[in-house]
Amino acid sequence: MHVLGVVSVLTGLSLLLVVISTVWAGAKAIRLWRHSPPENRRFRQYHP
Amino acid sequence: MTQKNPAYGTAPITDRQFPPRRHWVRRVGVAVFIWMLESFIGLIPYLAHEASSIIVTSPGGDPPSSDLPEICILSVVASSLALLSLLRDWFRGEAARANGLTLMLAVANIFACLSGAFLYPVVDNDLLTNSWQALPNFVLLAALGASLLLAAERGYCLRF
Repeated sequence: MHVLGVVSVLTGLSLLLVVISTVWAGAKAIRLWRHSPPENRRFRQYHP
Repeated sequence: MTQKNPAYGTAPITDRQFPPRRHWVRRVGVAVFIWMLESFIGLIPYLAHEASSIIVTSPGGDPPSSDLPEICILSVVASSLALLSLLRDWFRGEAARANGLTLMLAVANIFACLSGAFLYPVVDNDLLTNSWQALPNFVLLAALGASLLLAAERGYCLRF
């Protein structure tokens, strides 16, 4: 049926956008973490 | 304005007074909690269907009806309520805080809502063949994922 094809395409596009958004947000968070000064990191590791 | 707002430390005084900015963990947590409540609202038809299938079951009667239409309802409700939260931000005057990620997730929610709405009459009339039985689950996955990410992203960007 044509309806199922349209629904499949829309669902696939939606899932693709969700995956892209997740990767984008994760990469941005990692970049912010890596470029932040250590004293501004909330969950920083304490070295002896 | 050169006078500083004493309540917020560094922000200048403006006409619009915003509430104080909470920690981002709290904001994202509140947004995800509201998303859980919205998803529970969408889950009510599914729970009613399950309850009716338990109560009305009779030996030798008709086989229990499929629960795939309720899955379509849940996907439509979750994604459309996430889109309505964007409308709420618009009327609050905080639409300028939308970024590319917001637009991408809004488009994903629109696609999920449309696919749930298109799939519901097909599923409700038992026109779904056996090879397509997994499609409503993928629609639900797309709707829940897109609405959850949009809620978390709005919670991170907005102040509430």
